[in-house]
Amino acid sequence: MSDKRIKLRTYFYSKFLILIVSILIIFTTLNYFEAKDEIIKKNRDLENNIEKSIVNNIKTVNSSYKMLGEVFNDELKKILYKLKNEYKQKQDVSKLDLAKIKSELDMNVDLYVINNKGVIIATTYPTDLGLDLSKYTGFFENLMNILNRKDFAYDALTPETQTGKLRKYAYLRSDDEEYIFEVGLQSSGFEKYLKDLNYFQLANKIQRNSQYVSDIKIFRASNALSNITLFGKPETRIKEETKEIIAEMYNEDIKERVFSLENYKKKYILLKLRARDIPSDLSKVVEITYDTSLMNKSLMSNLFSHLILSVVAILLSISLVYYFSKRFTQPISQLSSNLDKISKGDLDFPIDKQIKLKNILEVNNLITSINDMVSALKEKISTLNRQKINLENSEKALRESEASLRTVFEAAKNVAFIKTDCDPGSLKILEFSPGAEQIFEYTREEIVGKSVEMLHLEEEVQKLPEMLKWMRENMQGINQETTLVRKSGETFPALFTTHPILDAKGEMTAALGVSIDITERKQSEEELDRLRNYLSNIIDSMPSILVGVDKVGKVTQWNDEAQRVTEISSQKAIGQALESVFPRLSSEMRRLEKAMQTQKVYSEHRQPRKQDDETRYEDITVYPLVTNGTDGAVIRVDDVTEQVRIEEMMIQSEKMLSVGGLAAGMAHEINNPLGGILQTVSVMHNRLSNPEVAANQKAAREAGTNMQAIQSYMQSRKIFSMLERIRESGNRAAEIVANMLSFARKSDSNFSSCDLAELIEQCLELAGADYDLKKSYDFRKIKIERDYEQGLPLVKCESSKLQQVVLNILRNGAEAMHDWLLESGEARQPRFTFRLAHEAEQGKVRIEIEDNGPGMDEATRKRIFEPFFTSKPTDQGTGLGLSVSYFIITENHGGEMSVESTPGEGSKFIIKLPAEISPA
Amino acid sequence: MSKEMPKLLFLDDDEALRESLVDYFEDCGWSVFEAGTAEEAFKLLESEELDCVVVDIRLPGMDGNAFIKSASASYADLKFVICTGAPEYCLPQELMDLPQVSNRVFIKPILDLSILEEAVREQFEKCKPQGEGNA
Repeated sequence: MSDKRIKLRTYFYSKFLILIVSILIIFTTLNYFEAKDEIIKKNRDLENNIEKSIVNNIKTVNSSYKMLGEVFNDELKKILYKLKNEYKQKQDVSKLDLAKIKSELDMNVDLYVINNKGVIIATTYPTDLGLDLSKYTGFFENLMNILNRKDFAYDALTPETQTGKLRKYAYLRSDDEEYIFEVGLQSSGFEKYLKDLNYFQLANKIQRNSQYVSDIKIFRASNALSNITLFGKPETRIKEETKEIIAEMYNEDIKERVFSLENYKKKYILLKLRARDIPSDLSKVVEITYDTSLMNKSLMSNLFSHLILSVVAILLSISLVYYFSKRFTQPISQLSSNLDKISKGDLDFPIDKQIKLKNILEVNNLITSINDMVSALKEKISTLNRQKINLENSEKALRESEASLRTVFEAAKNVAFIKTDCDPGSLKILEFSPGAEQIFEYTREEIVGKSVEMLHLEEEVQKLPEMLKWMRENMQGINQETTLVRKSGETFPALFTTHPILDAKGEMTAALGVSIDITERKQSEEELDRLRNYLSNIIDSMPSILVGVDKVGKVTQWNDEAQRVTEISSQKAIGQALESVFPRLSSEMRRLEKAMQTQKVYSEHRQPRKQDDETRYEDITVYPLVTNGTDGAVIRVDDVTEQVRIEEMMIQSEKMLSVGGLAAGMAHEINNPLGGILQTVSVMHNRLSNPEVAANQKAAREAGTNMQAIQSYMQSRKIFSMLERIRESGNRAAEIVANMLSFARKSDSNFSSCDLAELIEQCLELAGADYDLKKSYDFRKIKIERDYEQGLPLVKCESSKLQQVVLNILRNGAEAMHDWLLESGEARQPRFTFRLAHEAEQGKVRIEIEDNGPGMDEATRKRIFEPFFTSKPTDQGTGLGLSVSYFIITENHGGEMSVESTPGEGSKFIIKLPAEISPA
Repeated sequence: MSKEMPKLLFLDDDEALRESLVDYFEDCGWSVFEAGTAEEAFKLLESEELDCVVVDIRLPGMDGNAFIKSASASYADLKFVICTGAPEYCLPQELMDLPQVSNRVFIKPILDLSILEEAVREQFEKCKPQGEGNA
């Protein structure tokens, strides 16, 4: 069925096309025929013109001939009268000497005598003698007419068919009416006047002037076929059928005959020119041959051009019609498609969407009406819907809520819904949700109808009736955390909510219990607590003070170290302003704000702080907290006092090293002048005191004295002791320089393997020798104890340096013990104990030198190795001894040196030196 | 000492120090010469038949080490004792190998000049048998 339906566009298209194409065809056809007619008519006009001009020409020529002929009339009259008179005289035709007459005339004439039967009986033109003229009917009739007349009869001037020469005949009867005399005057002189007045020349001219005419022939017309000849070309054999046509036309007086052939057309025109008074019949038939091929060709091209034109027009109209039909039907089809959408239910679909030509009145009207219709429809539908919805709503809502409740009831796998009756005695379970099955591990079947008490702990069961009562009175549920019991007897923490179920009258008919297993939540809470504890433990175990503050400077975190230092507990501190609980950080408040603002870490190093007359140092760092939502900062305070001290010491030793470098540079410069002083003093002393030197004696003698006198003078003036003082002072300066140099000494060129026990013995020997003289105490009185390990390895060392160290310790110790014993009056035997031990693990040999002297306090002990530190009076030591020793051990030998002491009991110096590979 | 006293040259740029040495050795009966630079010392070596040179190391121009090397090459019998103000000075190996150079290096100030004299004598003793053997 639908196949028969066609689109509007197709319909318009086909109808328009049929209409327009048929109009086009009709129009083109009409046009074609009109053009054809035009062509034909033109041709006909052309033909008419040609024919008319031919006929006129012929007539003109004839009239010209006639006029010309008049000229000959008198001449001919004279000749004829002569012939008549001759005959009158002779009365016998046969006695007429025509030739003689002709010769007398001296003219180109022919003379004829025709009897009354129309036969030529005598002539100067022998060819025609005996010619019976009666067979030329018309001519003969004319002849007979002439016989009846007395008068002349002139024939017309005619050109001869054969020669084209002009000839004029004239006739006259004999008085006895027996004969007719005929004179034919042939003029050869006229042609030049009549040059153009010639039939076929005219015909030729016409033919030349018209392409249309291919041939023109002029025939002499006659009823006798033999008489029919062609002008201009008399010898031409004329076709019999042509002759017959001409004869027929002549006889039946047919004006025209036309014969159409393929490419040409022949037209015969009869000119009846017979005159009564002229015996010759001048009638002619003109044959005009038209070349119709040209016309046919133009007709053909006309046809062809019309065909092409019509085809082009049809094609053009097809496309135009297609375009316009599409354009005009599009709004309709779009409208229909839009309407289709609307009809399918999309009432909000814009009807005018994608529609062109909206402004066209009809389309516009259509859109408006459809819109009106649609909106009316919509209104109607919505009204209907509203009514329907109102009608269904209550019922549906009921169904839905029931269904959704059911869904909740079924789907909430982690929630137990349990419906019970509200009999305080039984509390029977009426409904048990899948969630409840999962949580309590009972199936619905096995528990429905039983008491809800089995799901609660015993002590809770007692509270249930009370709860029920409360619910009934308050029409409200209860929400609490409790512990519930699974089928297995396992208990679990749960969120328990009850709700009264009311009937239509508002009476409580049942109770709904909702339980959620919160075991996991509890666990994660515990985990959170644990984590919190763990974190605070970490924070508390930090050796740094860690204090957290919020953005207004209130304390939020207070670790153990902070508690220890401030002696304020974290409970007291948290929530307080930082300044009040940690006053010395109040100066940090600005930095704190800045850190929070810029979210950058700020740190302050080595902040000095006085505590119990001691300067301590702290590093203070402020970390902004970048966790979202918790603006604040953490302040960390580290006590770096020890670190600072160590660093200071390191700086000091660096300083000492650079002092050593300076000393080395200076030593050479100082040693030279010292040499100048000391050596010169030595020479001076020698020259003043030595009598054995010959030069001395000689010089003394020359001065009038002797060496003894000089010596006694020097002695009494104490010159020698002065020299000695110079020498001593110089010596001390030299010693200082030498000691200072040992700071910088790096050379290990004098290292050798050495037995420490042996080295100690050498030192003891030296000490005894060295100090005996100078000091008032006797080193030999000091008791020496030796405690040496067996099989000690050798030590790689510079033995002289090591000796210097040991001697230094011995000297210091000996002096200290001597002085202390003198001062305290204690009866104690001074003693040195030497111990040597191999510390195999460290690969070191340990030397201990212990005395039983006064010892030293802690402050002294700490500074004992510092350069220029001394406990002795200023004139007794430089304070460089032990620091030089320290450098010799640590720097030169890669060893360690330390001191232990108990005041009042003695001191112990410990030296460790790297051991050589132990002897076998 | 029956023979002519040996000739000693003191090469040191410090005049006071050099004078003290010259005076001391003169008093001891030595024949002494002095020079402030190595170049002066070479001039004296040309004109005098010197036996021993007490050399300072740090000198303007040619230093003591170079002087000993150069002079010992030209004068095979010449002896040398080093006396320097630089405490860190070590006798270079090539000089240590020369028998005419004393192994004892003196650091200024020399508190007891007799030790230096002793060293000079020692050097003469050390070289004597060789010299006599050759003669």
